[in-house]
Amino acid sequence: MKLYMTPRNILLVEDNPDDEDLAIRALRRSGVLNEIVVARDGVEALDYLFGTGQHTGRDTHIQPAVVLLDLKLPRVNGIEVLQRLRTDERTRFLPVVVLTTSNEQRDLLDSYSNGCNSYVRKPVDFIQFADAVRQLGMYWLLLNEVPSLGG
Amino acid sequence: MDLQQLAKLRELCKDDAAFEHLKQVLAATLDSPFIAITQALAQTQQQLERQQALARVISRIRENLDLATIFQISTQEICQLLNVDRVAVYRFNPDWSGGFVAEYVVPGWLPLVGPDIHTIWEDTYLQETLGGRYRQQETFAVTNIYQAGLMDCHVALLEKFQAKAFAIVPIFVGQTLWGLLAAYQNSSFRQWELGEIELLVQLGEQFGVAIQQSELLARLQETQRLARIGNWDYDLSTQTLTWSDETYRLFGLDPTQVEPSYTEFLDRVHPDDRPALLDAIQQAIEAGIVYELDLRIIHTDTSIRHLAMKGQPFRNLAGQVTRLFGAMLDITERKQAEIAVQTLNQELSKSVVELTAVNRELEAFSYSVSHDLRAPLRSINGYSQALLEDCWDRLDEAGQRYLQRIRAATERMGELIDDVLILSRITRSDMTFQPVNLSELVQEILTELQAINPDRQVTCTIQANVIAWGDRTLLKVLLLNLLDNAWKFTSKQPLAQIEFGTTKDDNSKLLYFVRDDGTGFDMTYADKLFGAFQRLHSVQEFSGTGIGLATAQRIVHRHGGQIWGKSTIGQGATFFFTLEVK
Repeated sequence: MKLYMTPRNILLVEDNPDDEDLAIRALRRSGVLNEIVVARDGVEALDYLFGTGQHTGRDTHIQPAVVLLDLKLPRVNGIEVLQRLRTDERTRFLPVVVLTTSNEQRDLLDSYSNGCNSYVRKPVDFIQFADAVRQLGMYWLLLNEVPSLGG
Repeated sequence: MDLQQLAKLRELCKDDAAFEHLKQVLAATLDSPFIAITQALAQTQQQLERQQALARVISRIRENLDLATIFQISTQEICQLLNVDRVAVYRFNPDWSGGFVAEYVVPGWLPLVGPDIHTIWEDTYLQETLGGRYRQQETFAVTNIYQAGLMDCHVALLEKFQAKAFAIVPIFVGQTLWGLLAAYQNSSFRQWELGEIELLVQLGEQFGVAIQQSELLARLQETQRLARIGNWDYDLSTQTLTWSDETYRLFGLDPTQVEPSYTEFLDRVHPDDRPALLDAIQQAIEAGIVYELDLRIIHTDTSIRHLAMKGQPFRNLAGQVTRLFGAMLDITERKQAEIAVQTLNQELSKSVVELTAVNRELEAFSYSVSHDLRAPLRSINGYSQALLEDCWDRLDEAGQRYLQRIRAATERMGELIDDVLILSRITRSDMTFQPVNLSELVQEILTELQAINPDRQVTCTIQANVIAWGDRTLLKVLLLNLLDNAWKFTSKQPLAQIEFGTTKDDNSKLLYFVRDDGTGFDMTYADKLFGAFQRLHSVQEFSGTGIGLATAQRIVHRHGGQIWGKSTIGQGATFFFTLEVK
């Protein structure tokens, strides 16, 4: 018997509309065809992943292929989201790529000590993103199309 | 034999039988030996009385430490004892002149010493012979001043003193002839007995001892006053307490107004310090434990003095504590200094807390800057990129060039923000001090620079094993900035030289240096080198944000050192720095 897997989606947690727009553009140009779900703050992200709040009833057995997590978020920040994910059985091994805006050592240290898998410096561009994905060993999960560079 | 003599003889016998026997013996002998015996008896009696009187005077001398009192009491006693008209104490000056300092004179005779009487004994003989016969411990007794072969001037002087006979003995203090003790007979000439002279000699010796003790006491008191040390002695059996003069002063009491007393002392002790003191005293008396404590004494003017007290119990042969004695030292200035240091420390801790708060705010600020300033920059950069990629064909060459310029500008601004953040991070980062091999760091950095620029021909000279004490991470950033500059400013040399090493300045202080043979800089602007965003070259000429040397300087300052540069345009530059972390 063959198992046909539906390509899983990607959760992008980002409050800045420009950054969201540019990130999605970069992902698409990298050939990522997966559905991209956007959460605008930490609370929304947690609701989506745990099927609570506005996402009550969502099947939490199906989790995103990867979470792209900004750190500076309204209400619940990125590090708190990460901590919650790592302490919950359902999301303990969920790949999380942290989006940073600088080389602030504190951010990187906090992210890694709380169990992030990789990080990408914003703005998300193809090369960096591809690197991060390669580190995660899930190239096959995301890249459905050979990326075309340039116009 | 008269009745009085018989009564004396009876006293010498143990009972009547013995007396009868003595009487028979005496009756069997001639009269004359009997008289001789009675005379001898009388003499012995007199000697005994003299010895008793001497012992009395000596004990009076020992009871007192004040010389004036000793002289006053003793001269009167001696006068009565020897039945003379005047007893005087004469003191030599350093030049062997001298004068009477004390006397007792039988009323009716001319006084030589008094509140307004200072009799100078002008004796050129004593002056010229530095004390004359008395230096040899000799005594001088004259029965009749007119028949003793004295010089006329001497006789005239004695007449002025109303004297007809005299006996003089020296007073020695240690090995030094201090003065003379003189007894004068004014009413008549006098045949001095040997016993009388011996008595005077003994008294002269006692005076010497008393004077020596008094001088020692004066010196001790002076020392106590200067050192602000007082001592006390408490005899438990007699309940008598004695204080030195300085002890009175330390308690803020007047020796002429107050008698030493335990309650008088306790009243002065600060109430908070009393329990510990009482406890210590009790332990000392009961268990013979030495005590040492600091306490505050409140003076009548409400000022407070801090005293360090030490008490020592004294045990008798039976092991009982019979005496407590001790000393105290005024430590007010030390205590005040300690309090001042404490206050300073508290203020310092407060400043540190404030500084920590400021640092935390600064950190929050730079964190926020790094995020918030970057967000719009990212949008400008990202959308310029998107425009270039998505709408390339719809833009003409000028449009494309403008977009490229926008992107370059945002990238440069990104770099500036990064550098500012690095600078602020270096200011606030924690430091771990350890020995750091600077030579190895220099080698690493230059190897990296060479790897990035494989085409460059640079000869690197590195002094081996230069070890410094400091924070490894920060020292690496310091060297990176200096070497990066050296690398950058030698980029126009086809064959460049970069050197790292140490040297010593005129004061033998160790200096580290990074030297290159590059473009160099104008020493006129040397003071501007280390300011943030200060650049001595245009960006077109040499890239950079102008933050490297500011960063280097902060690192050096955080290591307690100094950094400076020396250069001549076109002849390279040398940067020196010191590290003073111990």
